[in-house]
Amino acid sequence: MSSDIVLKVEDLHKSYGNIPVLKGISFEVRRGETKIICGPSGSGKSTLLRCLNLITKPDKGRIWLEGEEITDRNVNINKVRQRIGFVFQEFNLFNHLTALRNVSIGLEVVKKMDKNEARRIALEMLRKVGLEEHAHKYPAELSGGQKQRVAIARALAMNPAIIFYDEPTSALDPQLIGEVLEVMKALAREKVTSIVVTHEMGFAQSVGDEILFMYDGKIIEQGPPLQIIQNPKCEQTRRFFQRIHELYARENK
Amino acid sequence: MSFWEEFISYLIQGWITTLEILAVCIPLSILLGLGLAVARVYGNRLISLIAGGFVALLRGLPLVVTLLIVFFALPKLGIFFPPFWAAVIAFVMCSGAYQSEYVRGAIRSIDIGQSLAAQSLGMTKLQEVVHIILPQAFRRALPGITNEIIYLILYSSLAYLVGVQELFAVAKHFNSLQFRPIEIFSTTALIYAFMATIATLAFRKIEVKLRIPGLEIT
Repeated sequence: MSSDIVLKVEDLHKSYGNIPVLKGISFEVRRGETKIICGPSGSGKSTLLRCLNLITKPDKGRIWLEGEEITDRNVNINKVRQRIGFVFQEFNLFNHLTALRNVSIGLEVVKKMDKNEARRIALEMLRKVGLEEHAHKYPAELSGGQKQRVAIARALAMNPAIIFYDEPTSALDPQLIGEVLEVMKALAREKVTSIVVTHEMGFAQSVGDEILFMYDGKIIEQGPPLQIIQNPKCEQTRRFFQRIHELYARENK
Repeated sequence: MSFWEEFISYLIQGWITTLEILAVCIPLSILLGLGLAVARVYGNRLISLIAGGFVALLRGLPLVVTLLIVFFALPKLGIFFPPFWAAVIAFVMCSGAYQSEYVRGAIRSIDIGQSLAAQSLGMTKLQEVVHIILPQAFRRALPGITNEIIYLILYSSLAYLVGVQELFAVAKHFNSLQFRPIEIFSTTALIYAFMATIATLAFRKIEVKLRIPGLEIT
């Protein structure tokens, strides 16, 4: 397997009870790439991300992270997750820790790093997302956009091979979405490998390398963002982007 | 020696013993409460069942019965405890069982997202529980724990039943010598009320010290 493939997914399946959610997903992510996943709600996007970092166990299929098969039963799942950053829609910052400690705790507890060194890195990461002055604040004292930027810093601090973003701006007020997208764009331009589940088509077009369009548990179409958004081949894809386009047009009126 | 001089010197002896019981029981019961709650929520089926059964049993017995079992019945099975330790064991088990229910409720009330975020960083279950879940759950459970500690202070007086010379035991004994129940028992009552008040204030102080914006109990 070529060494610049960070993540490879082959024929992934997942059902909840009798309801199949993922019906055979395969794709690859190359180093430095930003993959966009979109699709209607219920199409399996979030389940896919959770299967990829093994928070949800896939029923069938194989996943390789930097050439190592992580669906192998003998793999230490905790070790694997250290190498995958995860940014949640609902932020999920640790409520009892300051912004700084939210970012440093993974380094201290999981990587057993010296406390001072962990804090130095954490502060550097907070600076990167523009929140150095808010390092001492608790999550409840931060806005939604700031929380999500701390969450991104927390993921980055672990120096992961890839970062997953699960609808990172969907829980934010419209005026706070921009600051989060700016941070994500900057990281994408620094070639931080990522998979982004999002409906922010501006973001997808400006930094996405490829869009994977999911429908009913399958990737039914994939290609460069501009082509997928403006000139999709599948009827479902076309309808989906038309609806998003109409929604934005109405909002911008 | 006057009545009051003699009474006070008696009471102080007993009070010291009561404080010794509490000094052992308070930290141990909190630890047991945390341990039982964690075992019930995170243990495998067997561990969870054992911890749950322990809590159900201890909450189903009058404390007096528990105490007498520990002191009088266990020796028949070859397990002996001196009076002081028999009382400590009974109180810790009883208080720990009650406290564990507050902690268990608090753990259950922590949003699942906290756990997902901890797992995503690569934390083991133990790291997650110790560093993420318990610090939050403990804060939420603290008012309930305070309640149990105050009960513990008051029912430490039951130790007199197995012959521990604690505060109530010496008061009772002194009354049988002097028969001045109004002075003797009202003074004793004041001391218990004083200890309960100090405990309330101390735990309030801990609550304030541990307070984190957004985690307050409203």
